[in-house]
Amino acid sequence: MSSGDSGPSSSKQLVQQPAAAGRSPNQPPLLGAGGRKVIVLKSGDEEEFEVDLLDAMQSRTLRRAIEDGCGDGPMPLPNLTGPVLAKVVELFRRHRGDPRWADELQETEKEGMFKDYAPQKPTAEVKGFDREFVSVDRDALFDLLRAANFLEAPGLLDVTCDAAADAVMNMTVEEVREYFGLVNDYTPEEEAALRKQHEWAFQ
Amino acid sequence: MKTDASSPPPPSEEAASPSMERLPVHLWEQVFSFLPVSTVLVSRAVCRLWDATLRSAPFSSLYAAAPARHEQLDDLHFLLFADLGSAAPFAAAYRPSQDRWSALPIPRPACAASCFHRVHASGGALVLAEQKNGSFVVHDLFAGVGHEIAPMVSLQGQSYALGLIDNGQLGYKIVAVSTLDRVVSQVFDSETCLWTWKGEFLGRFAVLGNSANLHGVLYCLSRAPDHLLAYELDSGEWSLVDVAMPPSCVVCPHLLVHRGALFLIGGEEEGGDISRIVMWELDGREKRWRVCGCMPDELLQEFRGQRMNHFYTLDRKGVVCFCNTSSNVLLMCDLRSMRWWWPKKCPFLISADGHSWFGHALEPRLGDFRCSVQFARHQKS
Repeated sequence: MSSGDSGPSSSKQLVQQPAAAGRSPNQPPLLGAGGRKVIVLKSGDEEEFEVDLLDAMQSRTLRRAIEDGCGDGPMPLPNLTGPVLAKVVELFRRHRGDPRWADELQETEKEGMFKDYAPQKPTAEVKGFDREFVSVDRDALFDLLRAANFLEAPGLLDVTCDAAADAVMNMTVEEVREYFGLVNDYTPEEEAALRKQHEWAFQ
Repeated sequence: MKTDASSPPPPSEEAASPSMERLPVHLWEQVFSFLPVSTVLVSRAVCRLWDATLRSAPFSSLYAAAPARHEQLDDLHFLLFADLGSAAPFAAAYRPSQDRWSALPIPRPACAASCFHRVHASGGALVLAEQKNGSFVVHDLFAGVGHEIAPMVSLQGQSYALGLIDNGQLGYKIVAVSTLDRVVSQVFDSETCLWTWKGEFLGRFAVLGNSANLHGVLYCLSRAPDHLLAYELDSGEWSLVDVAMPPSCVVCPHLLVHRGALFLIGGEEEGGDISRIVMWELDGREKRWRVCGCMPDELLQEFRGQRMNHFYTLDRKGVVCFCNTSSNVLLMCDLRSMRWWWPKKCPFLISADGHSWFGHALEPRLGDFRCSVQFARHQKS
């Protein structure tokens, strides 16, 4: 699906605030404490999080919104809860400079915003954080997956999709159905045929 | 597909257990792209929606383009022993990632003449097998499909396969050689389904050993005299690599590629007995094989047992399997961490009639194994 400005894209939801008077798109947002550029994200349950602008750019959805000039006031994210957004913001902070998306940032660089933002390989510490990040129960993992999908954040997507795949790998077919709430709609004969076809994989 | 991926879930189901209906299909495709082939196949049995997604063209291209688990060992199978002669032939496959054995069926022969007689070469998911009647088949043992290919041109009954290069959906190539008074090579290409003469080398060798493919060059060791030979797959050009062979007498040599470099594993013989099993790395600049490790003594003692005059070595993705041919004792080593371990005992009974060693390291792949149609067409024309 195209993520262009004209379509009913998710960034629409972000542009709820009135356009700030006198500010043109692409103008750098406000400066926070210590001269850092920060934006404020607001969860559906009204929790606000101050995020380094460069960290927020890991999300294509947020980047589009910022580039559209709506990074001045708190940016509402009605479909993310406070606890989920807190985790996501922490991951963005830890993934600062992650090459999985930093390359993309360099391409869209505007006004030298990212010049101090050199990509670096994920360290063992980051990998450890990622593991810890997805050590959550099923519903929390699904919340994170949905958040990753909505925010279009490659690093977050990688970490959460990998965790969901790990769950699938460690379960039998029956357990997978139970875990993901899926109904077996095969006839017994069909299922037996499928299992027979690649018997080695089921051993 | 009945699910509308982009529609939001009804609010009343918010507290219900999450299901695929509530995650867009493209997100599931991303999740599935992190699965090894074996789990993809198992996951098809979950429900029709998963089956349809996992068989879909978008997922296939996503999986082929970004193999997230490319470096993982999940699906690595060491097919170590096989009973080719039985009514239900199978190979005993060891999976290092799980330290488990499974039985991989070998195609049941339609008649006695068409049963697998000998497997000449393997690569990727494929094996090149000679049938009892002398015909050749290329078989994907995981998918259980194969097709007959034209036999290689035999020079006084002396041609043998040196290597099979499986390029997945792009097809495969087989390199065969004869080494009578010189090396003469022929290549089978699955695109054309033809054997073509490609390259020769003026050198007399008793035999060429196992081959290892590195950056489009097939390397192999010649025996009597011992040299390292290189065969350019594209040009068909042979050359002798300028490298001093290890000074000691190396028996049971095995060539392998690991971390983008060439390695040699072999035994050092002392008084008719193998006293050390050594690993060398090719040092291209110094033009010599540099010792980079050996089987620890206490493991060697146990591996050797009472006596060992021969052992097999098998490798894939940096995992090496050693097999003492006298006792069938197995020892594994992961070269990436230099971790050694004794695999679980093979639970299958396989008749020890001399055909039990199979010795091929394979990995399953997704997608159809094609070529048979082309071959049929070629045969008629």
